[in-house]
Amino acid sequence: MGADTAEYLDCLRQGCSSFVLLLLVPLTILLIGPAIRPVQAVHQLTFQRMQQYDLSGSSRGSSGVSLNCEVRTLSSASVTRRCVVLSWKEFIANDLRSIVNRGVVALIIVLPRNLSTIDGDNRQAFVEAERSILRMELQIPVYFANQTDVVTEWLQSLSFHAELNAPQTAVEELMQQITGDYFYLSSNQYSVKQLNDAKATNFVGRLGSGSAVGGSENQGVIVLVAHLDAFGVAPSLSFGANSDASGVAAVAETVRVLSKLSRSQKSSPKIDLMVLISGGGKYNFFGTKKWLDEQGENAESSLASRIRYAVCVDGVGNGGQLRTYVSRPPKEGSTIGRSLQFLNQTSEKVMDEVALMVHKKINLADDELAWEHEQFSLAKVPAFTLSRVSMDSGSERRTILDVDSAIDMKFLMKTVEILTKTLAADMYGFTEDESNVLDSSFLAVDEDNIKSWMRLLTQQPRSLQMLTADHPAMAAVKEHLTKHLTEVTIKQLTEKGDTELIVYGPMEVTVTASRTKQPFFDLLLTAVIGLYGALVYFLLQYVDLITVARRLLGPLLLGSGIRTRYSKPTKYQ
Amino acid sequence: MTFYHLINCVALSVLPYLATYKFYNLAEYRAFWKCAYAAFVFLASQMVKMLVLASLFPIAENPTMTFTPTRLFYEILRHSVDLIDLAALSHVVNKLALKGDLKFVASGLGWAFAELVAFRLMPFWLEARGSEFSWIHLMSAMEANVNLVYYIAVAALLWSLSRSDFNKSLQAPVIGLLVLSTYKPVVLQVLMQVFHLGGWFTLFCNALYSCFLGVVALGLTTALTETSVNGYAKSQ
Repeated sequence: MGADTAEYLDCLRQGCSSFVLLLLVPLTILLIGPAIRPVQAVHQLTFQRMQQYDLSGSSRGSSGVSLNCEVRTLSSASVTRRCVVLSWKEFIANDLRSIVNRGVVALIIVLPRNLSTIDGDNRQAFVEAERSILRMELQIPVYFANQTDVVTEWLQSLSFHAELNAPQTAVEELMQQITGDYFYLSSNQYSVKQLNDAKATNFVGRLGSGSAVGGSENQGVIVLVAHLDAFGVAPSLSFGANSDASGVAAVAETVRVLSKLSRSQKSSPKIDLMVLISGGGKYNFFGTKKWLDEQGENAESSLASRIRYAVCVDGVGNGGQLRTYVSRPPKEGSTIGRSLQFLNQTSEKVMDEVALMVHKKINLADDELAWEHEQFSLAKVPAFTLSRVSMDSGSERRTILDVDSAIDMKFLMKTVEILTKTLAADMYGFTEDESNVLDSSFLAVDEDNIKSWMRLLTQQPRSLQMLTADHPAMAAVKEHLTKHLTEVTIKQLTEKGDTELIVYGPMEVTVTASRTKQPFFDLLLTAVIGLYGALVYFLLQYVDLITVARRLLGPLLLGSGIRTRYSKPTKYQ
Repeated sequence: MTFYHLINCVALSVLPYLATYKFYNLAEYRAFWKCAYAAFVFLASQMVKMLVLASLFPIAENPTMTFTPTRLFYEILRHSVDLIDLAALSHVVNKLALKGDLKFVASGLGWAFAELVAFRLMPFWLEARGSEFSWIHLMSAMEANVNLVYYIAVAALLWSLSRSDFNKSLQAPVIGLLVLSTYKPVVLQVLMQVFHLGGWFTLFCNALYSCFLGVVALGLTTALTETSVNGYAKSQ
């Protein structure tokens, strides 16, 4: 009995000490705890991937997809094996090559919610930055993020952590390792895949008697061209409102007006109008080239020899001066020369301005042509491009900033009117004396039609990658041409296995941004927990806290009327 | 590293339980199944509580964080269900055939461990391995430490109440403390709202309160075991 009691008390002594100890240690941990911010949930972000395509054997754009990295900002000391988030301002202000050379594994460029807020000099710089990044051969993934609410929230939490910026001393570096939060990005897609559904498609139609009536054959055709696709640094952000939604809208309206005119006239036009809505226009005018190749091969129809001239419409929606771009000055007395003269006269009448003729030689050293008519010029077909874009570098027509808000409907209307009248005069051989026909209501351009075309074409991105068979613009063009024209053909330009033009996806990835700690933090945590365990063990083993507790609690217990005199238990035999 | 983080969390939460089990020599007293009994009663009482809550307290249509007097009253009523816990724990303390303070240590430990397994280890397994780092898991692990103290202290208070040699004048304050413990979550919720405080604050208050409860329990049980031992020694 006695032995039991002694044992019991020993046990108690040990027990009570551990009891007290357990209370103390969590409290100490807690003292450092509240300084840390509470947690936020994981962010799901949608990023737009940069262009990637092979054109005539050369690869362009960024070939990376997979994101699995920590996020840093540009000001961080070390960005090696991290991905860097840039604002669009940083994107235009920095030399991207030097950033990439610092060992970055991915670039994320944050765009403003509304792209039209980039204007003036910034716009110019952005367009140039787009051009230069597309010229770099990038193995790392480059993503663009529209600043949606989620992205904004994520960026705020990112910039909140100033630790992401450069630590100055070793101590700061160490503290950052412990206290700093890091963002880790991981994408749901890992590999590049060839987009087989996106095929460049040419839509061709003819207005006039066509090949059925022999007489009109000799008179030849005028080709009216606009390309359907748009281009920008990221395919899923390429809306191409000015280039070339405005061109397609202008052609569509011209087709409507001229077909109405042809129905009103007793005779069929002397010269037919051939309409080509080409595909892959942003890839060195791939569709136009293919179409011309086809005509050259097909000697029987020898359409190429009967083309009087070709009019390409590209970028006519902005407010600039109307220009006609030619590869060589037209000969006196040629159809194209007369046509350009007539166009100038009409332009003066309609807009009170002369269309500026820009003579730009084809630069064969450049691997991509600047204007669509140059493909015709190379095939020895007289051609010009009608445009309001001043730069002939082409960058202005190859940007994600080419959005709907830059379109001036008044200028677009006037351009369509000029174009319609010029073509009508050429087709029917109207002279200026017969201008009453040209001023008649038959040739009235309808603004609502053009507006609805622009809406349709710019509501979804229209890059080649996005122009699959179910794209609304494809269906609308097909329907419109079938309604107003004859001999409509729709031809996909690439077959499976063709390597001339290959586009790659994915265009969009979903990325999980999670807040993480450095591995060092977990190691330190283990050390702290280990110390905690050791402390508990040590105190339980070697310190008899019961005496301490008794001494501390003595007055309290006395006050409550409980005896506290501690009598050392006697060992009973 | 995320799996490593899970191990850290589990270690932080389980180590004190193992230490308590080992240093109270519960293994020697063949108290494992007694702890398991406490755990079983814990689960049973949770089941009963759940049934009562589900049938009597429908979930608010749009749970808002603002405390109106009605909401406060509702919360108080809802937490009254937790008195079932007290009754169940009291039953365990009186039922276990162990000597003196081992009674409440074993029942408190079993009870707290069941709580740990049911409400913490599972979320650790499901969430702490995720790529997102969250302090919640470390907080939960620390709270498991606090809970161990808390439940042992509550069990100790319940045990002292059941003692015949317990000073009757202390009965009322001790019962008061136990009831306060039951409504502690409501008090914390109100405090959190008034001072706009987060989870760390709750944890801190819990720790502080458990500490206080622990000291009181320590004082009472030390005195009681001493009087009993002394009384026993005198009678020899």
